[in-house]
Amino acid sequence: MCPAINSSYQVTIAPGAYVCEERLQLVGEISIGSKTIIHPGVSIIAEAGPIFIGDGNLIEEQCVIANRFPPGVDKDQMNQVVMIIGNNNVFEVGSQCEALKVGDNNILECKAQVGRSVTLTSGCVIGAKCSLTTDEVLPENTVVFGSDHQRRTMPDRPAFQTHQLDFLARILPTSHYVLKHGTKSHTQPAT
Amino acid sequence: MTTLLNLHRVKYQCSCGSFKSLCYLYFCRHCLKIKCKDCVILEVDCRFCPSCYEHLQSHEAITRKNRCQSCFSCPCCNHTLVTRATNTSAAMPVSLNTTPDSGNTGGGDADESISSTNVSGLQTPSKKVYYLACSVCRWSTRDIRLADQPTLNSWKAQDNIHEGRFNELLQHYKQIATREKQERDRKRYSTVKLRSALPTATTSRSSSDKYGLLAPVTRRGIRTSGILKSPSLAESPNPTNSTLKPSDPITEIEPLDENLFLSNTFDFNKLTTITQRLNSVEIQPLIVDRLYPLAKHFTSKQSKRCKECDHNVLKPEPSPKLIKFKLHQMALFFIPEIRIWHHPAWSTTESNPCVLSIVNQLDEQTTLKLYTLDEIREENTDKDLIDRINQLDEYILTSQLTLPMTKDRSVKLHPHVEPNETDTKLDDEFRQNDSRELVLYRKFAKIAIRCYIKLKSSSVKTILGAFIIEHRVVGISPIVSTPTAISSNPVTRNVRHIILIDFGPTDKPALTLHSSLA
Repeated sequence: MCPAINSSYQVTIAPGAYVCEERLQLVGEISIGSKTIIHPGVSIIAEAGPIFIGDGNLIEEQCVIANRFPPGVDKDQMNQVVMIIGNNNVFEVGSQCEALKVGDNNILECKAQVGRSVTLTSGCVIGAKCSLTTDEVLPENTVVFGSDHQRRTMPDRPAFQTHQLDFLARILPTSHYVLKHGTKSHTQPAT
Repeated sequence: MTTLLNLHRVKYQCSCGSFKSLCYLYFCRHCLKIKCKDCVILEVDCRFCPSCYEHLQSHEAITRKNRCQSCFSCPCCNHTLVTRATNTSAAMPVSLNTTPDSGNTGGGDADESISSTNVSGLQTPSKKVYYLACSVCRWSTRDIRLADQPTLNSWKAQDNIHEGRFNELLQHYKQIATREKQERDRKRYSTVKLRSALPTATTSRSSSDKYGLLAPVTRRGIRTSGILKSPSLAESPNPTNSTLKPSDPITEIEPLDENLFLSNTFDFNKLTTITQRLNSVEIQPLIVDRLYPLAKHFTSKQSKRCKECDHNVLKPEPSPKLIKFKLHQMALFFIPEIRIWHHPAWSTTESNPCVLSIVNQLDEQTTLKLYTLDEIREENTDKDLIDRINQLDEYILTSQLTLPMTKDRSVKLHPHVEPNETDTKLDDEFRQNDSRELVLYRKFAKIAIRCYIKLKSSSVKTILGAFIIEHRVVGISPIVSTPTAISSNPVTRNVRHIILIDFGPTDKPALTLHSSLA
């Protein structure tokens, strides 16, 4: 029920946020904003630096939000690189986000993957099973869709998910074990 | 497990010479030959919309240009658009999905429950308006500033600015075409009898044989219906309006201004792709703001007819919702199916023993005879078959397939029964007569036979082997001229099929041996 014990983590949860404990995997220094809802089965791995998650985000099952070291670097020599996720983003089931900067109101659809060098501004939608591993800043309101990763620009950002967030905030604590707000830390026992 | 139903590995030769998997082939019971989709004639039976299953008569569908009135495709990604409803007075738009089929009832219930929890305090009467949205690329009719419609199914098609000119040209050429056809047919069919029984189809667009889609019977009828009038009456010409304003030709085209790409006003994101542009040929919008929902095309259910004997091979039910067939002569129901069961790790010099399984799909007991290509060549009876074998051997085959037992290999196959049948008496009887060399395993309708593959040379990349099976088919007798004395003897014949097996690349590891075969 508790988060994975074989890793050290320090998580700060703001009041109003609901983080399901089941199959949760936390590594490193994490901060979660208010009204953010994290479903069971999520992994938040702050290996190469802290992760700050904003308000009103919806992180669904089996998501991976990771701040990993770039491949082939000396892990001891690296400075800490901060990963910031903005407000009102939606990470649908199975999506993976390693982008260092994510803005507001973005949607990563099911099984979407975003690499480290991408910067999501605001209102972007990464379609289902699309993976972005380029080195670029996505302009606002860009939609990436299709098996061939076509792109188009929407006239305005996608709709808010406030209804879903309110509903979950009521229902989730009644049937899941939820981490209380505050700071919770666990250090790996030295072996 | 995926190797069990590798359909593309085993191919049967159709009577036109092409090799296809058994599931794609038809069997004509009158000429007793395998037919594939390239040697049958298609006839359109039923036209319907693929998303709402709206079924229209042929003539009505053609006047509607084979498009659905209520289903639309996204102009951006070509997926089906979904109708969404919102309330006009709510501060935050509440969106719920309704498909064109479900109508107002489904959408209404959900809407009430949502509005009661979310829109608290708003007393103004909320009106529901609809817009179309694509769930894949997130395009919607709001992107092109199209107003939300208050009623479902009120999306109008765009006006075609060239329509007047098209109609003028069509009328003009139609008149020329009818005149030419009448003259041509009068010369050719000067002595044909007038067929008054056939419907007098006018040579309008809907019944003319422009694309070769009509049945041969109707085709002949249309050709001869033009000469129903006696030659003397047809002399009087229709008052043809042959004065048609010719189009204005353009001799000079503006060259492309290279500075266009450098200017600030040029935005690549706003341009449509060629596919998007050509999806609506009449309009061909250049910029993304001018895209419009595309009405969905109809699809058709077709019946297939053998080219040689003109009998139907496949006839579906006319309703789009029924998936059964009135006439369903697939090769799978007449010919036993052969699958690869086991092959060893390939050695280029020695003979590799492989196991093939044969499954009987018929409802009756079948006797199957197996021949290698060499034996057929020795027999020298069927010249056509030998020609085909020689061609195959020269150009395609990369290995030689031999079967154990020198001659007279015949195996009996059980009829196709339900798997939980417990009567094994017939099975045991067959097992007694089986040769241990050839038949490795037998269970109800399925047997496993052994064969040997020897590669032709060591530089072979993929292994292709072939052999021949022979079995008996029961056909339908041709209709005799006197309707009273219909012969009741069904025609039975032994037919032979060439089977081409692709075992795969030479470096593929051996398939795991099944426990019953070891």
